[in-house]
Amino acid sequence: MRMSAQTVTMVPPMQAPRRAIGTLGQLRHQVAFDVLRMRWWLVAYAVVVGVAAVRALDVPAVAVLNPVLLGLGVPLFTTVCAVVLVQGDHPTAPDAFWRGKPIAPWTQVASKLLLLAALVLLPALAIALALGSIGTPFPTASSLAAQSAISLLLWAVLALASGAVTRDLRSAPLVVVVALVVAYGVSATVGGLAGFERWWVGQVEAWAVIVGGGGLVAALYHGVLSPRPALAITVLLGVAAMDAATREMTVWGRPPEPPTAARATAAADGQPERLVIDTVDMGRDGSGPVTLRYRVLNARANTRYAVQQARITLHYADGATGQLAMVAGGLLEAPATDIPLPAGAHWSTAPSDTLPTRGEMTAFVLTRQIVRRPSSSIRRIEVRGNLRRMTVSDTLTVPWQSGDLVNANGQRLRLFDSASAGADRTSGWRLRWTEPRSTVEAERERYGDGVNHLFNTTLVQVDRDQVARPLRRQHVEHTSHLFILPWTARAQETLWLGVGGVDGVAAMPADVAGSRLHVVRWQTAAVVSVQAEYRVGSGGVDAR
Amino acid sequence: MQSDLTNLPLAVRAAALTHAYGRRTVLQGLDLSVPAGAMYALLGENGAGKSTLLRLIAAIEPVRRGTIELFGVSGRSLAMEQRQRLAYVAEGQQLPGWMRLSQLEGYCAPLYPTWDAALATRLRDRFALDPMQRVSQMSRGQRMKAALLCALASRPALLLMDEPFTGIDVATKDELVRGLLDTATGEGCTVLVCTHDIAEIELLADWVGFLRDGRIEVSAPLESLREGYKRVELTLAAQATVPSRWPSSWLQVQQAGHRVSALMTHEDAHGAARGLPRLAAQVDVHDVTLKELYLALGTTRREVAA
Repeated sequence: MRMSAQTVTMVPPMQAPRRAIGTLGQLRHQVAFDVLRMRWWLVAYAVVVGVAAVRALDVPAVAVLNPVLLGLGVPLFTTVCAVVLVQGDHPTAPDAFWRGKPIAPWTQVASKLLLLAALVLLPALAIALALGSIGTPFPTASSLAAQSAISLLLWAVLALASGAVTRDLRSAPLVVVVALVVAYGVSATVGGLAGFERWWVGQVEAWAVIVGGGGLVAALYHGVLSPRPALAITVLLGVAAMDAATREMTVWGRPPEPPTAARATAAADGQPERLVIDTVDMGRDGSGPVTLRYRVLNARANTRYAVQQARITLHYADGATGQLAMVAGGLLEAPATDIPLPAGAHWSTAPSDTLPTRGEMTAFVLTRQIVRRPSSSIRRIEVRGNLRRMTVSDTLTVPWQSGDLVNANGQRLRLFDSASAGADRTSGWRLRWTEPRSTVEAERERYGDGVNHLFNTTLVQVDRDQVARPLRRQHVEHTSHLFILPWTARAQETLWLGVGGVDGVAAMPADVAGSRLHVVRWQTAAVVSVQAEYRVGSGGVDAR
Repeated sequence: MQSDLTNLPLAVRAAALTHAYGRRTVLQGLDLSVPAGAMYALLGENGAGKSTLLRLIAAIEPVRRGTIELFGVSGRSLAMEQRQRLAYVAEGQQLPGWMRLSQLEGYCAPLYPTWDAALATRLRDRFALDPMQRVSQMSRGQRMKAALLCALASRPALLLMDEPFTGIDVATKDELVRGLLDTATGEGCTVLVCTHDIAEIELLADWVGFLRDGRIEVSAPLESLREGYKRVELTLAAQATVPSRWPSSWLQVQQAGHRVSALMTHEDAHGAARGLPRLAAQVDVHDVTLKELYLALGTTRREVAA
């Protein structure tokens, strides 16, 4: 029965349809059904975004909700929605319902991307509205909203790609876990390469993830990319996303120089002083300490100040909060002219910055600061703490020579030279406060609050011509690592003394020949609490 | 074994089709021609490549080697209007469980310009489906009915069905077959169905193809196969010497005592009737069923002899 089928007659191509559905019509149709399918997810998402936005406005009814959940809720919901969205019409599953239907793959891609855009734009819109409701200028509000949207888009697209290369909601996060492991390895090897720290690296990575992730999903829907390579590419995109998230990647172009936005003024109860926080520098790379620069307005004469036990709560535009507590910082020193000099002495006319009138407070994130945000997104600042007011308790002028300068109750301020002291300018004179080991460690823990003896001392060189110059603390050991101070073995502090405000140049014996050392000790006159709450408006902070 | 298709209009033509998953080749240089308007049953063992072939025809998977033409148009260059005349139903296909049946119809209807809402209503009544029932709450049989409803209501020119009767009770199978017969036949619709339910498909099919080792072994009208093959049952004479080997052209030879049954061509059957009286006390010639044809021609066990 075997016969040839060499010559066959094909029936004419299928007849033209009686009515054709247009391509845009098909897109509208697909979007409508995607919205219908995602409706409960979208409702829940809108609630989360709404609550986050309302909380940002501090409506009391929802203020008790955990801000961490709200802060994480929006990105978490966005990523879950993205996975559910793409897996509802899975691009690679051969048993997916849409396969075998006359549906153009591009309409699936476009529908998914459109909904994803809506998911990203909704919180951005909420942020813009929240900022606008408190008087934030439109350019600022829109810029912050755009930054938020781009950051969210990064993770949303990654989630979309993860959903496209996995079969269910449970396995999609595994892609991110694998990417996390790979990212850790990459950061250990590539992270140190020259050039990798450039400012644009994060932006390139972020946009590569956004464009590449979208392209990957489109390629899968069109069947031009197999699932296995797509999985590998998604892991790489995840690595890039994680690296981008640690960099400045939400602003296109060179990021602005921090610090930027925040400015807060705290009033001391019943006192004329005002504590002004000029800037809050969150750091460019999102790690390391947060630096707050502050000063005191209406300062009294012959007085210097220290901020003590400061707690600062930053409220971000999206409702998240971050608490900062000061763990180290410098004193707000009095102007040099306020320091009493020995009779006949006068201040040098040479410029000197050794007695700053503007303090810098460094704070580390303590709690609830899950995601470090740029300081430009800070909307409100709460300041609580003490302002320690210090006045001169006594002064002492002694010859510049090794030995004890002060010896009172076992506390000795000793000037001494090291083994090669004075031999060259690489080693200098050392000044130590030495005290019994029974010193209350709690006292020392407030090192940065202006209580420590060493910081309570101002040293002035008075040369043979009666010219007074403040001595600069060039290097203070362990001051930046307060955490080790409670050790009982740390019973003495050391500092280097230099002259002329030149860092790293120690005083030679010739420099100090005939000089006297003028020691000014400060004591606490009062501790006043400062507590205030400020909203960020245009051009800074306006008191509420 | 391929039937003569000269001058016969074709709905599907596959040529030199080869498809592999990794290192496992599923289809190996397959040629297939399905006449327009045929109810074509594609039979084959598990893993023979039936589902793959249907997915390639439906453009669910890309054709990498070989060609597929649907109504004379390359499968790769099918326009959307032409794809709208094709329907695909598969066992295990994920139906959107969140939809109600009415929503499912509403989703499918705009995709097909030839959607017949009246037919959809008739099929819904015939299959006793509730339009407000969610797909996720439907039984397996109801889901297949819903899928078939959507496929048939689109008035397709080509309906591809992959194991539509698997795991469905007898009554539901009967409903599906009747619904398919009433709707698809007489409308010029070509149906290509692969299944293991030979009994059901025998009622429907007018063409059959046996897929084996990645190739179409047999492709012919069912009636011509039935005419070409017969089952011969011999009752051996008591004093007859049983041959050590039966003729190689005999298929599916089964011997139990003095009774021998074999499937053979029509010519062989008549030859046996004429030449065996010395050996056999009685020779009976029967028509063959599709199942017998499939076992004899379409499976790897076809050379099994007693």
